[in-house]
Amino acid sequence: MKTNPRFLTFILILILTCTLSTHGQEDRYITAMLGAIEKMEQASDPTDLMESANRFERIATAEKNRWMPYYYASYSLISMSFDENDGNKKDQILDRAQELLDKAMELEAGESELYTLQAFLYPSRIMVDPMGRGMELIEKMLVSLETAKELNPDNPRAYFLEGVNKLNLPPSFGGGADVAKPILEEALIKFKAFTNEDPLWPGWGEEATRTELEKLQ
Amino acid sequence: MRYLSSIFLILISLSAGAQQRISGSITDRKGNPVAFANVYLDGSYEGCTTDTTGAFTLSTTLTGKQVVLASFIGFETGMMEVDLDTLRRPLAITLNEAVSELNEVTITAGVFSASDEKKSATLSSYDIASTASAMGDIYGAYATMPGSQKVGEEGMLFVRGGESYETLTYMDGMLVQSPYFSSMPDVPTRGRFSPLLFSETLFSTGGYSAEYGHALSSIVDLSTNGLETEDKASVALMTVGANASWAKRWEKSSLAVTGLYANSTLSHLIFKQNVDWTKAPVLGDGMLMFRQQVGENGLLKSFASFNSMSMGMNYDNFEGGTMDDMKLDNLNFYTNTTYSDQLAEKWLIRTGVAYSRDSEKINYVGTPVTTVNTGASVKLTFTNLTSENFKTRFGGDFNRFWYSQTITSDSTFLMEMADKLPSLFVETEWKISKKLALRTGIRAEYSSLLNESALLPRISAAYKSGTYSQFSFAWGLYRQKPENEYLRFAPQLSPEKADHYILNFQYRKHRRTFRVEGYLKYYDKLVKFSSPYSPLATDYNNDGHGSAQGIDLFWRDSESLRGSDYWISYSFLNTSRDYQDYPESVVPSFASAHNLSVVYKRFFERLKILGGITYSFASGRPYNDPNSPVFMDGRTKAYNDISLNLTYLTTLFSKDCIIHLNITNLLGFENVFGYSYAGTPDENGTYASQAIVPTTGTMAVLMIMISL
Repeated sequence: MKTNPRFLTFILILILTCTLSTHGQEDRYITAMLGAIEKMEQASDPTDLMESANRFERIATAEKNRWMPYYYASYSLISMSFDENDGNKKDQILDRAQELLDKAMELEAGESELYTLQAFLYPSRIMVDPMGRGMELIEKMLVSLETAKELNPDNPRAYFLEGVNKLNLPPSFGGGADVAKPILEEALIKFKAFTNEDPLWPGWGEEATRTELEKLQ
Repeated sequence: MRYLSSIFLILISLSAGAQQRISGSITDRKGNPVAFANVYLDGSYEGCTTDTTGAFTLSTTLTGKQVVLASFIGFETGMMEVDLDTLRRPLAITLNEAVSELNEVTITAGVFSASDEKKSATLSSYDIASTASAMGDIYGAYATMPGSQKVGEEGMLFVRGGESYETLTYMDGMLVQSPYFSSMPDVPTRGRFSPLLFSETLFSTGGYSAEYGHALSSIVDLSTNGLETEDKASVALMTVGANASWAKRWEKSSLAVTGLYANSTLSHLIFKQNVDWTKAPVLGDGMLMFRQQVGENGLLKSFASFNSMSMGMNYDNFEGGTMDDMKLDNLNFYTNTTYSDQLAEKWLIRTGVAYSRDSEKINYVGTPVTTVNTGASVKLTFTNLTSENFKTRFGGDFNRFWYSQTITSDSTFLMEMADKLPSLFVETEWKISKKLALRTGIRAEYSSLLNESALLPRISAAYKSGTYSQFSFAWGLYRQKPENEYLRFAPQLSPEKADHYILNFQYRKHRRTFRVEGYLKYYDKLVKFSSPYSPLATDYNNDGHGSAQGIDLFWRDSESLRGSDYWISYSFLNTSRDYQDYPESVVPSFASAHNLSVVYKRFFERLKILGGITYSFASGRPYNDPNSPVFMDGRTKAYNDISLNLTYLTTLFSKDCIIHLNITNLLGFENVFGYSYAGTPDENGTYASQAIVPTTGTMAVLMIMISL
């Protein structure tokens, strides 16, 4: 069985908190978040992601001053929206995801991860109406990625999204595998080097970067 | 691992303390289960997600009085107070559907809005820019909407039995005096502004709000883009000229500059012209847009455009039996600055100033006629958001116009007039229930030149008859001062009048829209004269009148065909009027009973080509044949046009590049707009005639644009 380091941390913290019965607010928050993140990472269908979004939203309503529950709730909804085929429903989900992201932005202005998430949201919006929204939203997405990179040049997720974006664009638009590959490789290097003291810090993207790169081999 | 898990489970159960289970179900107003709703206790992490039957069970360690919240996307959050100590039975929570833009009751009578932001819009600015028959002209795109008439030799909007001057254009709420380029007889014109400047446009075919005045039939309100999103620059080469644009974005402000040079010489060499040009149209155009964010919600917008145009032709004066030398020089300057902000929590302000000067010099067989129109306006409006369901807007504007015309032949004639037009309006919008909305407004107008004032009430309402359907109704009184070409001789004239009655039904589900609108329009006090161009004031009066009634149909489907989008609009118009020098009330020469447009667009993903095709049809238009004893009983043949555009997205010298081809009248239909007749009969006693035809048959424009 694959042991996920995050899962181990989760259990250790859980054991500690439970046995000591401290139930301190901070510990309680971290425990709940780690549990929720763990479940989100194991999500296998849109239903799981909806449940995951609900879970983060519950934490967010109780912890109104923290940006991360909003961030993860929004991330879960965006991930879920990619599987929604009804354009109207997709828009509703993304409207909610945007609301949650906006709240996170209010709480933590200038956080690179939030701009990355914004860039992750646009492609799903574009899929509703590629002809009508494509030109405008691709531009907005690129602006978000630029901002994310400016705020934190080491944020691997910004490079990952840029690479995927290039991969999806045909060569005649300045995209294609040849352009995307070095960016994804750079993303992977940044993923390996990436550290953050916060155990709750977003960690998505590395696995997907590897998968994309394998496809390019 | 298993060992760890069991410890973990034991610990959990030990530390969990007393558990209480709450169960229940979540339904919508109709009793349908709401699956995947989030059910939780306020302020705690404890909660769960409902299953597909809307049922839930949640465990909690909390006790006493608590609030259970239930939320789901597309619904308002429901809440219920419970006492966990005494709670025994399951909870039943009903959720109300959230009022979003898509299912909100909105007044749609007479309105076609285009917006990139609002989802309730019927067209986006991109739709306007990519309509094949429009060739990038806003008014050309609106000519494919129901309610507008095809009048090919003018190129302006003719709405519901109204003349072109009855439609006024506003930019960011400010009146634009000369929205079309100057042109010569029977040479179609187009709008001065590119559709890409606007993020939101509104085309009202009648029954519009009390905020707008001085227009009898219709208004077009264009909202310019906000701050530029990033720095950019591009150049474009066209078979009809060249264009360059540049934009710079700072943190809280942006500046955009565009320059255009257009010259039809090359195009005239390739495509046979039905006009004997002595000078092909040449246009120089410059535009500047500055935006500054002020504070949190304030936005200052400045816009300025300047253009110079000239052309010359030998005008076939068939009535007089001569070929007349004619030249046109036009200089136009327009600028406005608007400011909008939130004053307090419930107060919004919008204010602006505008100035324009249009100088048109027509040299007709050696007689120069110079017409200068100058306008200045200020406007101030406030919005009070009393509650979510009630808002009031009020304000006023003050417009000044100066007109001067100089005719130099043997001696110089100068005609001048000036007008001051103050007006005030107040309008309330009240959402009486989720299904019923009512807008009532009144406008007071005065003209110093006509020395007349008017009180103009306007009412519209909307009733939501189903989740996707609604009825709207509008009624209003409208006034407009007579055109300058009459007022210059006869300042005693009164404003012309029109009353609008509109009933509309709209069905809109996802990305399909169907609407049908019936209208009645009564004209009164239209200008009549005994002979055209008479300089005698006594030859003019306000005794004209008329009416228009019709049905407009619109169907748009953006979702059924993959990668495709199309709309069909059809208008039926039954109108007659007794105005100008008409001896009786007849169908005017610009009106056709049936107008049809089919617009189809498709994105070919593999080829990276965006294609569009437009078919337009208009039934025959009346013309007066002096050989017939009956006035205006001639009918032209029907009008047909098929236009095509192709946009190819690619890279050139590793820069993003767009190649665009637009072909109008692809099949070379020989359209006839009307006939002109000789002023005197020939030896057989018949008046010879000549068809008024488009300036060219099939015509194509190619453009290559590169982003720098």
